[in-house]
Amino acid sequence: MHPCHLHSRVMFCVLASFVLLACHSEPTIGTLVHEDSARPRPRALEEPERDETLVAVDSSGVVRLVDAASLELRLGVRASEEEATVVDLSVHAEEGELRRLAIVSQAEEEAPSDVSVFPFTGDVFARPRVVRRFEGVLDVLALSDGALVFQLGEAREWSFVSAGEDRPRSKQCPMPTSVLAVEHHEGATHVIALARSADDTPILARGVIEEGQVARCEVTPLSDPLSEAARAVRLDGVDLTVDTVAGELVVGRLGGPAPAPVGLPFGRVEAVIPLELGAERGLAVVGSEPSSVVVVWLQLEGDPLVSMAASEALGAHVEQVYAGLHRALAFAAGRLFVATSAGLEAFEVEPPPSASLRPIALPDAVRSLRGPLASAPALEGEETGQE
Amino acid sequence: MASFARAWLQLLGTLALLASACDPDGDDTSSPLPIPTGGGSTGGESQGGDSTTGGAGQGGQPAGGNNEGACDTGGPVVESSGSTNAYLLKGTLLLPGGPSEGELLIAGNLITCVGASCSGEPGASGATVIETNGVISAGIIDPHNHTLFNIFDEDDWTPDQTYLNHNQWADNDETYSAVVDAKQYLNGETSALELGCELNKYGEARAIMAGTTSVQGSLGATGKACWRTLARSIDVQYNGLPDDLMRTAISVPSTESAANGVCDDLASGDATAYVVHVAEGVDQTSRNEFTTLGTRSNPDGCLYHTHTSIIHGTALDDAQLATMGANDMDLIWSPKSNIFLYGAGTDLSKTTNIPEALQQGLNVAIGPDWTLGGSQNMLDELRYADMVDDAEFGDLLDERDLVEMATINGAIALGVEPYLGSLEEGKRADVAVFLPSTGSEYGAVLDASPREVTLVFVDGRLVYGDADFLSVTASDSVCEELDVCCRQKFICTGQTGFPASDRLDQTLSQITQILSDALADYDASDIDQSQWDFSPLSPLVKCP
Repeated sequence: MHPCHLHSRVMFCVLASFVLLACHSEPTIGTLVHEDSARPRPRALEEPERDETLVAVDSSGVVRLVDAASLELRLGVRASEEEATVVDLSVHAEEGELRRLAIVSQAEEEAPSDVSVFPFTGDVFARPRVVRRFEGVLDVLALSDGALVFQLGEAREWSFVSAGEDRPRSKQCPMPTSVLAVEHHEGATHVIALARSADDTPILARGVIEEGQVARCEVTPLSDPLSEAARAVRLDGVDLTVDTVAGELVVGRLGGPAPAPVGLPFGRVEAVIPLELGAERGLAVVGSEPSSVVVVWLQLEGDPLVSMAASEALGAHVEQVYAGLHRALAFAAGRLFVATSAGLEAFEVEPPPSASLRPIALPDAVRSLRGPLASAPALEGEETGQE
Repeated sequence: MASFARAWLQLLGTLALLASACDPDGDDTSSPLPIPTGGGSTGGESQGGDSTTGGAGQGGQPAGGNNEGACDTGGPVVESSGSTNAYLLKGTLLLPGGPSEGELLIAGNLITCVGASCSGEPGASGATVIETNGVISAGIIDPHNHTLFNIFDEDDWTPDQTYLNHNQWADNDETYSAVVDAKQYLNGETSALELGCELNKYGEARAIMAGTTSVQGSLGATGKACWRTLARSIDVQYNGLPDDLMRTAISVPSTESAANGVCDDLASGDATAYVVHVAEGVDQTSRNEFTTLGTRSNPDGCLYHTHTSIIHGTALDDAQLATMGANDMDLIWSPKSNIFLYGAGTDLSKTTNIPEALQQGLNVAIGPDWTLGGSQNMLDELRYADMVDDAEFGDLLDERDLVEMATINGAIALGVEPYLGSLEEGKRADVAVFLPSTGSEYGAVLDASPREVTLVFVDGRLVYGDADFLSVTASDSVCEELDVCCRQKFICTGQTGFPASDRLDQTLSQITQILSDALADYDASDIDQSQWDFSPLSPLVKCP
């Protein structure tokens, strides 16, 4: 059913048609790309909010929202009017139904990249609220009122871009390899990331955003002997590192004792995301050389840290990323999605005691999608929160 | 409006001249611009600029100049005025086989004859004939610069510590960060100013005045239509060549797919050069970048390619240079910048191991990097390299080696040698003429400053030279006269006949004024929250 056919949304669609481009046009900046897809399942009020939407990129460079449960394509948006490659993306879920999608897109190799931030709901992508151009290697983190841009170019800098600021003010700060957490303290937003120092040693970088600007960057050396490929996540307030040691996957607490072996041979760590299923906590890790995916279940309060793990080989190659974030994984509707060179692979994730990782057959339209990937809460398509 | 602009320019020139008449002691002036002595004009008409000498900036670079202290010396003369589409140059030619007295014929944008005599060639009929009384060289090729930064110099940033690798200053030096902020603001990366046209043209004017006809200066940036004039912006689509087949990068690829993309382009011929910063620094972290370059692709090693040109390579050890040699790779050397950053400006050993590179058979080109601690232009960089060679390498490089590093070797490193880099029939007419020196023919290049550069052609167009030659520039050129260290010159920064939006009709005075005003405004505004001011612009020429 086309969302514009729903009575409750008629007024909204009329307004949107004026404010935005027509619902049925080809995807361009801010253009709606509706699909004839089923509405997402209503979310029970008592059900804890979890990500139900997969965000991925189709072969024509349109960022697509996918209902991760039904595997149906929903909205799409093109980052730029040009044929551009989506280099990175990030979703921030606001309170209510409003989301923000930040996209880094690059028209051609060597060219500067555009950072665009699109508000969206279940029904519509608004026109980008922010479009800024940067040079160098870029990653992006969507935040509540803009996006943080990580830049590796003439300098290594973080810049905050928002609709209200013509000129983003940057601060020297290393390119993160993982974003651990976003914290809010006394009106400031703190973004905490794992990065590498100028001398290629592991560090924690804390960028502080105040009054719409990156006000400072604080760097703390880490004693953890992490390789350049190591990644980190925060899970239930615990900062965890994932790395390989002597060809084996290891998971540790940042600043803690020696990391625990998972008991699985592993290549190079490419991407890590946290998993929360009911009371169970774990990590999903995708690696290259060889390309495989592992789910590791953890006892955050206990010892040993690692309780169970499951692994699956991937059918295609996982991109190796050496600078910056790598968004090759997303977890939505209890399913793990992995971006490979041949498209998406997906797995049904079961927590302990079965701790299984079962491949899912994807429809062609979903299987052909590419990274970068992200996840987002369910999209209800309500008018509330629409800008 | 035009007459007002011209009057304004003339007023500026007059005031500048009054303020800074030629100083025989060589002290003085911080004017960013060699003093304009005439109004802006289109080609083919001399503005009759005042030949009063004038300073153009402070010294500080290794001294160039074959005729220092003299305001009027010999130089080229027009034997017969003719077409501005064909020039017959007479003088000492620096040919691939060595120096030779003879003639060179430019017809359209090509060199159509090089030899003892070209007068009988079909294209010579009606050509403007010039007795250069000098040394005629292929236009100098700068294979490594960051042109948009070249309004700054070491007055704006001189590190207070010695670094071991490039990340250390890129990450941690607040003054450098403030310079980047200022450049990004002017370039429109963080503002609506969009002065990328003026920044590039200012940098290329600096290059042209030093006989440099191609500049690889846009790493990671897309070209703009306004970059068509002045030197070739050799690494973008507006390079005046049939294609842009150059891939440039400020660091090794950050992803496997990016590395593979370059490999594919090199294998298919879609790229004829991959020009990448590698191993800039003196520590193991820097050295590791070369290993990374070899392992980032799938399969490993495809970026160790005969068309890969490594910029800097300062940290490379003998084994790595041997790997480069085995793969027939190229090296681009920037000694002054290396020693500025990694040797406190004095430790001449903190640069690339050129003797070993040559031992391994590498093609070595030379480029200044930028004016932020690098040389002000290619001629200064050549002299600096010569000094390092004498002091550190036991005078391994002779004058011809150095000049070839700045011409044909640069063309090879950038993959444009079918078109550029030597005086050969069929190549593009990028030519520079120098006053003779008291030494060898090649010494004329090594000894020269912009003052001794008497004629510069890019793609057959006369764009810089002694003021007398303004009358034989193309009629659609936008030129003006200026004083360069006591020698009257002209420079053509623009061309008429293009859409106004391309901003191709700007004179150097206009370009300079726009940038000066914008930088002063930036310094004065609260946008610049740094403690540093960056005005004035770095002078285009620093006279001895």
